[in-house]
Amino acid sequence: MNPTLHWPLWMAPSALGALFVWLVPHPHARSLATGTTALTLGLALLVPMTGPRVDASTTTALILTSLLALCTVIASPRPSTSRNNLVALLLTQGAALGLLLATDPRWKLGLFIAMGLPWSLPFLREEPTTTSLRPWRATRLYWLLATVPPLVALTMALLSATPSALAAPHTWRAGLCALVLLGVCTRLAVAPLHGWLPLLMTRGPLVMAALWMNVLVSLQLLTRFLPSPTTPHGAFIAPMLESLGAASALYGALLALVQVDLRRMLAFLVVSQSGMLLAGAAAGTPAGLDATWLQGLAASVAFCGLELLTRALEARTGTTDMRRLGGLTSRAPRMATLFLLLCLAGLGLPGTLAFTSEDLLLRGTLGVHPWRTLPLLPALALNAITLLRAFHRTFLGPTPEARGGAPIPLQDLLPRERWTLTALVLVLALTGLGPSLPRASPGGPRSTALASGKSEHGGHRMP
Amino acid sequence: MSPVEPIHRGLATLVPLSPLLCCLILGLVMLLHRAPAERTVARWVLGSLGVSLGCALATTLLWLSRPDAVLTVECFSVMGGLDVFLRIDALSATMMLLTSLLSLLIARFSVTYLHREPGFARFFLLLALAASGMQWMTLGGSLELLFVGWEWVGLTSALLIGFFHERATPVSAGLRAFGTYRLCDLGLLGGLVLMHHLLGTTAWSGSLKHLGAWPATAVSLGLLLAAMGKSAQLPFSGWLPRAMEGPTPSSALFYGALSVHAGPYLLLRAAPLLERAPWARGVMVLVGLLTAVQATLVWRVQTDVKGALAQSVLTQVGLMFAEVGLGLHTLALVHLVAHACLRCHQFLRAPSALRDAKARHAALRAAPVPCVAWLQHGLSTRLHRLAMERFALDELCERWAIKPVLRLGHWLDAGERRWEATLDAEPAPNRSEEPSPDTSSTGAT
Repeated sequence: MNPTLHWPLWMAPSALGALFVWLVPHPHARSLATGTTALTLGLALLVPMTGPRVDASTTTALILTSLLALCTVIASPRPSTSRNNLVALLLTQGAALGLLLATDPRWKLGLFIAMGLPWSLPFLREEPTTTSLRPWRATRLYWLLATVPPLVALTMALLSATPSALAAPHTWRAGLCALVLLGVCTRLAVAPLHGWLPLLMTRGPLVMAALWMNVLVSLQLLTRFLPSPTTPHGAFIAPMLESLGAASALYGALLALVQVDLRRMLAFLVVSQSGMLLAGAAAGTPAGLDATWLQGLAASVAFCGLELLTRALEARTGTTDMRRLGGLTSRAPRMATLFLLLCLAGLGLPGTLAFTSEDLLLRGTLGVHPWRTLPLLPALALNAITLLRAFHRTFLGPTPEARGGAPIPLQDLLPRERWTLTALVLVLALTGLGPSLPRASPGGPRSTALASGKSEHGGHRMP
Repeated sequence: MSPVEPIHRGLATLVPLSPLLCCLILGLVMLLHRAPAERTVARWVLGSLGVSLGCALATTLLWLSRPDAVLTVECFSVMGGLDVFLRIDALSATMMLLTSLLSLLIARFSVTYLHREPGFARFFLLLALAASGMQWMTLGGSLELLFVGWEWVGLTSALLIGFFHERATPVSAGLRAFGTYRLCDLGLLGGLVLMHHLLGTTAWSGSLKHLGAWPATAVSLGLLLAAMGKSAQLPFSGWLPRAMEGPTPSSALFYGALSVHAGPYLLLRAAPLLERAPWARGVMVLVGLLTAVQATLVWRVQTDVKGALAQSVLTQVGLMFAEVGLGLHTLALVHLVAHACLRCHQFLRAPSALRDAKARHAALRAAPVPCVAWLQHGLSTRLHRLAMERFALDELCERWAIKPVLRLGHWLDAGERRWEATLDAEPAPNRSEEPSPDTSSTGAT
């Protein structure tokens, strides 16, 4: 079976799983979701055996998407993941798998739009108990920005005569790409289109896995729809996106540095990471594209793990305010250790995948366009300081009762949480030390062709 | 290929790999099970450091027996294509022996010093990683490999400063050190990227001589920035006195023996590059001399042993910077080795220093106070005050560097919250009063 031709079948387990999770009684929903995500992970691991039809980067993205979903379902605290969350996660995963495997750009766009629906559908939205916290109301503007422009682009493409209309050198096609890029940048949470992310992270349900699925597919779309730098439009758009990405990286890093709430801090760190990914993808060099891909992999695993730990901490202590925490390492040493390891993986300690990816990213961006991407350097430094500071303030120092506050009850990680997070750490360590990594660019042959000057169909590349 | 080469490769590879493997195994056991007994931890770590020392001695002897002045040992490829190869020459052989010997000695000292300390296993875990990092730094055949070891040493240094993590001061001191390292390491990162862009490689090979004057100056200044941070040179010296919060053995290892000398080592390693960058050398000499003068004055007003030792280390390291800048490489290396051994000894004896000082004062009670210069009374008082305040470097750094960045971050955050309130169509909550997220505390799950 050719996964790229039969991609709807690869979506089916997630879609059916979501349906059954919605229908079955609540106590069994989580078991069903676990089984579904485990099944999709197994299927993703079988993709390489179908032959060379799917490139290594897409295979890795499939495995990673399934792994993030499985880890989220297993390790998330019970209060953070209701049945609605599980349904939304499975639907998002299904759409992501389909998008990664589909080759037609119209299907890719359609699935990209569909990925935003599960978290916005009324019957799936979680409304918190306090009336002052309404994440969906505040984020709907960004939801529209992420959905409507690609929808317009898709509609115009559907109305065109030939399937390859998107590749045709029409003057309005640059406008189509711009519409898609607007949606992609919003979904990537690049400044100034990032406002939805801190709101969602602080007030919404567990979203990091779905968020990074969106990031990975956005990267693939970005490399596909970004005009070539040799064209007049591309010569303007690519450098602008590169500078925007670098500025967004620094902006997110500055904001993350001053946060006292762990969830809000993670949100701005993701904004910073998204900026780096945008800068790398827009640089247009093969090294930049490889690095973007690797950095996306590393950051998705590290930040998913950090969010799971943050939610676990919140479920036990009732807060993620670092000013009220501290000195927790004596009571939860494993939680502290895994938090530290994931922070180190996130800041690019040598021996982890992020070290390789950051090195390649700087070579692919700073080494080629130094003045445009100079903000990436201080952004990396500030992110590292922020992560280690978060660990210090949360787990080290005097306990709250020693500072005159109320004691905080805390139980260490449960076995399912411990083993899942340890697996994530091992993935980051093994991929950092592994002899070979999927170095192909996220868009596969298309983006490789973009860098080399030919399209995957052997014709001219997209102007 | 001669039959000795695989043996040589294996021995050289084991020098940094042995403590690293010990660290990984110990870490896995601690994470998945629990910390082993003190005796087991000590045996593992001392054993790995002993193997490292033995292999270092053997490697050096094998290198001396060969006619080549520089030996390249290819190890393996990891990390997505990073070639791990070691460079053995006079400089790296000297540092390799020094590192392995001092690491083993300090580890042995620590077994007794930290007996029954709650973080015993954690200390030795970090010590093993630091020892491995120092070896990668000194033996690495490229700037990338040096950077790997550099980062490991920096991280372990910061974590060991905060070893007594029940108190707030060591924790903030560790974070301060890490922040300084990270910001200064931007120079190393920038230099690495530039070298790769210009030369296509970061290997410490003869290709460094092909760089033009201005590119060489740019790379040299980047490396100098990193060296200044790691070796606590002006104006980045504020973290070193705070670093004395850590256990005495870690102070001896990092700030007496090894880590603080990583800066001069980096500059010695990059000597071919510095030869083409006279401006960078000039800056190096200036920084070194200013640091030496400042640290000398500050040292004389210190009231605690470790603080005084820290400042005197800065003085000597500043002189090493000046020596490297003036091209006196052999002198700088000899100075480095002798100084590392002396300070290591002094730090380890620091707990007994008070008794030694009392004995000295008692013996010299009748002798006049030595004096080499006379200053006008007001000036000497002012100097004394400046030295007590360490020339207000910390306050200046706080006022002109840290606070503006934090103020900018807070200003941006306030803007973000106002925008969020606009989207909410409700008043923005005060940051300190922002309610917790919607999940109520469940206590133990």
